[in-house]
Amino acid sequence: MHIDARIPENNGLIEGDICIVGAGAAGISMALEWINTPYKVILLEGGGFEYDEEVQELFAGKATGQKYFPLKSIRLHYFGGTTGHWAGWCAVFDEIDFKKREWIPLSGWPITLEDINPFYPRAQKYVEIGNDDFTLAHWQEKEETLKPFPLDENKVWSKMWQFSPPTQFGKAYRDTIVNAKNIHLYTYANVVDIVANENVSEITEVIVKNHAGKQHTVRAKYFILACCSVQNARILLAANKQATKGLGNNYDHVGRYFMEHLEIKTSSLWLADPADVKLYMMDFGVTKARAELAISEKLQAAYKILNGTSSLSPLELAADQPAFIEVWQDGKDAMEKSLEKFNTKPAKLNMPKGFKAYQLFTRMEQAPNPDSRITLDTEKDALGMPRAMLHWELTSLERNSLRSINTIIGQEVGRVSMGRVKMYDYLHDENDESWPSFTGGGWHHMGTTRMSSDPKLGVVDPNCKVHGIRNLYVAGASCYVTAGAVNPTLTLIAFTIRLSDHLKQKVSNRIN
Amino acid sequence: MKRKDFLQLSAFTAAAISVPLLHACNAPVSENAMAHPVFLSRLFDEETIRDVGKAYLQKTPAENDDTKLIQLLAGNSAIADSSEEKAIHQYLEEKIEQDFEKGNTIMVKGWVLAVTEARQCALFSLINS
Repeated sequence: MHIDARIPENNGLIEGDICIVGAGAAGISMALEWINTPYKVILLEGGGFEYDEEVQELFAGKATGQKYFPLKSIRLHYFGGTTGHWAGWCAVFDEIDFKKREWIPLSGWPITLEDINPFYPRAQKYVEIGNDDFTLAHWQEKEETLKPFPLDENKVWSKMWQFSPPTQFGKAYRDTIVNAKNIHLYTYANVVDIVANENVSEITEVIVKNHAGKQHTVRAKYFILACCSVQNARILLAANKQATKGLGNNYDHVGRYFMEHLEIKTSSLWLADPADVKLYMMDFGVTKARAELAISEKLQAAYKILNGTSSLSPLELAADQPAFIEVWQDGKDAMEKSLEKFNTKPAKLNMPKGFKAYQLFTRMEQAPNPDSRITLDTEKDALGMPRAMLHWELTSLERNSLRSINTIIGQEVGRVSMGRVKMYDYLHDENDESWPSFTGGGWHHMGTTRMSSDPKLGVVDPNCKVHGIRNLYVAGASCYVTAGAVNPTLTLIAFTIRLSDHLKQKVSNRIN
Repeated sequence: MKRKDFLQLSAFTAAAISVPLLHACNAPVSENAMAHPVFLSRLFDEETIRDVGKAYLQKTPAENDDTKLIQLLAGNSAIADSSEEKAIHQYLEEKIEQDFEKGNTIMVKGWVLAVTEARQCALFSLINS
């Protein structure tokens, strides 16, 4: 069922069993999990089914610190969320991502990869990558010609990625959601406040508004924030009438630990023929899976570095390409307009005879950093919500890790006489703390409601429930303690399904 | 690698493949052989090897001496006394592999190099300066 919240009479009351705030990858996955259950699910989306400049503008905000994309355009504010222009890159987290690593401050989850693994297959279904697993052996069984570099797997291994079509959730699941009898989708329903009981231990209702001047109250037994890392933090911080520091923020963690994946060109790899690179190449829209070079857990510990992987692109194609951060175009069709800035002609390069060159592009987690954070601006948006402000901050650990990852790869390809690695200029000087102009992220926002068993050290518990509030949960990558090496979408959907199962049990116990 | 680096490298490349390394050098066979990084000479031309060698010596000024470099390259072996170029190259290739294996590498002008091959470049730069 679909209701445009601009249409009903003002001050309406909407009631259900669970209320999901946000209809992006997490929110829609959650709603899909509840179809055909005996429970009434309210799904609130701030935008409509199409891009709406007025709604998108609600995401605008200031950014300080490390140069970042304009906040307005880092998420899409309509049904389907940012899956509306995602690239579909999927990979699973590694065991080490969940571990306490002494060399990474504030690392260590209260759960392990084993807690998430059972939910990956269900998440894969939603992003339409079938039941294929993420091991190299699996893909070699399917395609015998896929051969990894002859490197020591205890040092550098080939981590598999799979590519969603990509599934645009807004298009793929609109009819399913709208036609589901127990799912009540409200579009143009922007949450502007959360109301709790007297001692702020339970949420009683949320207030939604839209540009048509309509305001409604939504009551439910359980509330799930699924609005992305920036907006989840913003909503919690802005709900400060009863809890002056914001909901779930007794210990000042909400909004902190904002993490991105550094996505940046790091070096060139010069390979002597005949290096077989098929496994590592990607033809966008055609390739189902490919590998990137990853660093073993043992060496990550030995070098005290963050987790990351490096992809290969033919250097003649990659050499002259700008970074997204340099050409990003704000506004409607931001992705398409930015892509127009990319060169279509290969660079003319003279290779030494018998060699081929590739650009190593490294994606890497950012360490949790309390000073990298979302806060509230004094300026308010058109609906009266304080705007979000981002201060993105990187540290020397990120720089050192980028250098070490590429050094390790260089050592391995050198050891087997495959080739040599040449680092880009900005990584030459170990004492240089500056970042080049092309330093960017992957539009992966994580960590602003971090998970911890200890209420003093995080915002949500291992079940993604906000500490101290009985019926408020958070879905999505804002719960991540560390970012992992790989893109967050598949894993955040797996997390959401895990949360969904947990909630079903809770709701069943409460209602029956 | 930046475009200007490419152009710089590519300008050297054509010559690199066809011009035998060390052809004009009057150094003994073993010294010449030791100053010839086999793999790198496929990737770099003479000028690049010389530049890499000079950059290495700037980083490690204590090694700015051909006798010292030959000693370091030979290690405890008697390979420096050999007149067999092939044997010298084989010895040094194994040493390079061991360097990479043990992480005994150094970044010179951005290149991740085995210390042994960086020293070879340095020796080349000294005896061909």
